[in-house]
Amino acid sequence: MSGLFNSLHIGQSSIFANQKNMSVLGNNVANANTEGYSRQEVQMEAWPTVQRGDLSFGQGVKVGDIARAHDRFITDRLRDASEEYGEAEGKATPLTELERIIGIDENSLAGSIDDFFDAWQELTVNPEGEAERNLVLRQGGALATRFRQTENSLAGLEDSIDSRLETELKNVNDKLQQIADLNQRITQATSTGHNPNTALDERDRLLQELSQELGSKVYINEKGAASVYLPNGPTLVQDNQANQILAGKSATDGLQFTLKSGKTETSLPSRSFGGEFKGYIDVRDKILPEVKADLDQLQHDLIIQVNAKHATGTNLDAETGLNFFQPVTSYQSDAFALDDDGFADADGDLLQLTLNGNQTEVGVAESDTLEDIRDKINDQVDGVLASVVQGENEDTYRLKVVPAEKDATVEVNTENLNSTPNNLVASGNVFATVDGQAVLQVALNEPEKISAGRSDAPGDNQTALEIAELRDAQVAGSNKNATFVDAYGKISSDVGLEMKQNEFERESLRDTLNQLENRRDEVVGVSIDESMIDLQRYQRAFQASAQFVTTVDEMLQTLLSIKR
Amino acid sequence: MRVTEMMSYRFLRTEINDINNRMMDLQKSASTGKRVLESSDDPGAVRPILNFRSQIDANERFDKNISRANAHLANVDGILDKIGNSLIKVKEHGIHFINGSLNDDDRETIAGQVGELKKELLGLANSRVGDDFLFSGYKVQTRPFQQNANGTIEYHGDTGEKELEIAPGERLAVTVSGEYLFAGRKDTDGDGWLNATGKDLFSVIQHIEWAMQGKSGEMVDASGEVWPEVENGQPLMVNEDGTLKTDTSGDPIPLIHADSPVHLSKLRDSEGNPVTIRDLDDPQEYNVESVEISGNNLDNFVYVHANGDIAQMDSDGDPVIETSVANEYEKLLDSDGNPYQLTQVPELEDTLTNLDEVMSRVSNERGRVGATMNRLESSQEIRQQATTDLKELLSTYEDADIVEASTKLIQQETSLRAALSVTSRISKISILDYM
Repeated sequence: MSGLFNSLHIGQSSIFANQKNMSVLGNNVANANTEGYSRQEVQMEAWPTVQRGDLSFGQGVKVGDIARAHDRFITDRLRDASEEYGEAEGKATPLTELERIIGIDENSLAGSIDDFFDAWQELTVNPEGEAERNLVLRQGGALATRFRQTENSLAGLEDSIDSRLETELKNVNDKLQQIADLNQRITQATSTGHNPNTALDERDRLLQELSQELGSKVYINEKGAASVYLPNGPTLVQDNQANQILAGKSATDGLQFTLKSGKTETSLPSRSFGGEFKGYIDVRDKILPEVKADLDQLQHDLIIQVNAKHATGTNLDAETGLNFFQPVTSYQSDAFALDDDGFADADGDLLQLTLNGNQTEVGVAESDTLEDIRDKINDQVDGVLASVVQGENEDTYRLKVVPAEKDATVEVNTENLNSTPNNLVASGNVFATVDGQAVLQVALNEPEKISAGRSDAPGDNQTALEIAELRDAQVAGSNKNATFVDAYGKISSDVGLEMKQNEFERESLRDTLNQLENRRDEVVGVSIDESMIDLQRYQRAFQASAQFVTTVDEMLQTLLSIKR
Repeated sequence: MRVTEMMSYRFLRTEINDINNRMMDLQKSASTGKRVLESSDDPGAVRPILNFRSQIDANERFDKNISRANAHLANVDGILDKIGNSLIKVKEHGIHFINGSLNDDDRETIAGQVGELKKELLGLANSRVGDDFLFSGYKVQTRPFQQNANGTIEYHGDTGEKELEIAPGERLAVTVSGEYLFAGRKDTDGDGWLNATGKDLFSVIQHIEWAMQGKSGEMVDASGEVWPEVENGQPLMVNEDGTLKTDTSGDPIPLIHADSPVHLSKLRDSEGNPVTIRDLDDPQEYNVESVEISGNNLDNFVYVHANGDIAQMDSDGDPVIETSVANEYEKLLDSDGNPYQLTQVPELEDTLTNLDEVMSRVSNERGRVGATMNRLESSQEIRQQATTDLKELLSTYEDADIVEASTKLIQQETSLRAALSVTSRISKISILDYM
């Protein structure tokens, strides 16, 4: 009798186990399309056998555990691949915008440069024509506007990168908090012997997303809590504690990050990040400044070259020495003012010039005028441009020494002029070190102020010719071996190259990511077909068990009917 | 390997996405006809594209400039033709004058006709196109040849010759110097100073006119007035009423400087502008001897004698000449306030020889204009050819191969269709249908 009851028990355990299986299977199918869901499996075990005499009897089946399919290696690889993909993806958006700003269509800056010199070329035919002169002014203005627009667009791009990062931070901080919460649930469940499968899936998903966004690294400790770090060390999540990343804009350096841990805040250099953040920040801090510097150089070259030619010309009002573009203002490093006689009075002395740290000396004689010193400097020293400019008073003149290259520095030391004479007046900082940003702007506003010729004769076109010929002159770029348009072309093709490379990277990284995700699905994903077959299997097992119970019941009935 | 639904859907999604992206790109190139729209489409092509566009722009401008220069030269050529014709007429009159048996009336008529031709030539010398004078150098708005009150014709333009860029780095002068064409002055040795290379057109014709009036061998001033002279051929100063001017000791004042009759002209700088006393701080700069010049009015012009000496000036800044009495000076200005310019009128035959020289200069210049126009035309052809070539080159870099683009588009369409049909077929098969 007890044997039969025991059989009933076996049947029951089987029904129970298969039911459990069915419900886990149902759950798997239900979550077949859930992002990050791992297939769960019921682990069935046979009950321990009972020893009766020489025989051991099975006691049915029991549900040992509901485990989730998992492959630590693939999960880790997915996180790494996400980080790389995130970096490429982060670069893509601002690069696309940058590529549009440094465009190559006919309305691009290159077109404006062409139009500008074309207007000068047209002026050579009819140098006194008001229409032609107005056109030169207009095209100069259009060129300036185009530079302004480009600069504004670049500044706008920088702003939008910052706001994108700032908005994203809220998301990131939410996720950090969620991970901390999940850590708590997971460690609790594990310590009480439960299986926190869903929480683990959810955390894996969040960790992967964070890796893509921040490039964060993960370490899972023996209690099952995940610690999250930034690539170069700072902790974001430790056990159930989440730190916060804060961002603030400073006027000078753009968006700056701080890490708030409890009540302490430490500054977070922008190179700490990986993933999408690194992509965005790289464009902002590396690519954009280069493009800006190149554009600066281009403007600088245009201003210097056009002004140099224009200043040698004479306009219709018989004025000479005028600038066509506003001179590069921050290059105002002025020097000695001389008194009435206009001579340096520094006999046989040496004027020291330090260009980019290299010292050269120029001999100055007593009879040298400022113009003589200027010519000596220009003849003897490469890389600097000396000129004589009018001082504050009409009678004083100053010698101005500026570097010919944008980022070069020049210092002038007058200490070695032994007899530094009284009339070598220097106010404040003599020959300050200079550098600065070029802003291209037309300095003239009347058409008759344009110097088209060497003389004020209306038909004189010599200066206009020289300026028009600058179109083909190889005077721009860092090595001064490109035309203005070509220098712009280089900026544009550099951006294009960066973009192209990024496209390749994104494509190949996306493939890697896809393959890894497929691999992950292979191991932990839900296959409907497989599930259906299993369903059939468990259903049959369930039916069989039920049949078994019925049969045992009938046997019991038979036994019980014997007594009657 | 287990294949899950997620995998096939993911595969489908990325595959269709890729195909769509590629189709989008192809569609863009097919519809815009351009292969390179953004710099990343082909970074290596960016600089050539921008450079070619720049060169095409420049060539189109050269083309336009050449057309305008040619139109200008065609005008100049027409004027030179007329000048040549007028000069031929002058010469015909001269030959007729010498050979023909003419009475005095006829002679007067012919001299009058030469006078008219002189006026006609002055008109031609002052030809303008639009608002601009053709022969005044850079000073296009200044009438180049102006007649003084005393009848001399002075050049008021400068020596500028307008050049245009007709090809990258290649300049060509497209104007004719009025100063050379009419006055025969040009900087032949490149020292910045004008040299006399031939006779002045207007004075040659003036001489012809005077010679026809029978003044050959006489000493005349700018207005054609014959001057009295003493035995050794020296002209004497006359008062307004025609009487001889005398110094304090009652002697007539001979108008002689360095053994030649006084012929004063304004000192001019390298651009042909008259020099004032104020300008003359460094006489060396003007190729003249250093002299003491006094005078209150620094804006007065500096005068030089025919041999290059600077004329002495009085305190008003006017040129003077020393009389026979020590330290006595007489002004060298005539009643119109112009300096004396005395010339000995040559024989008609000699003036006609000078006319030949002027005529050959005019026809040489005309030949040069023709050569320049030919040069411009051939250069224009080269420019236009270059523009076509450059456009073709630009096209190879920039333009899409439409045939290739559409073929590829069709290819992509096919693969899209295949991907879609395979998926739809796979998703039709399900184990659920068999349970």
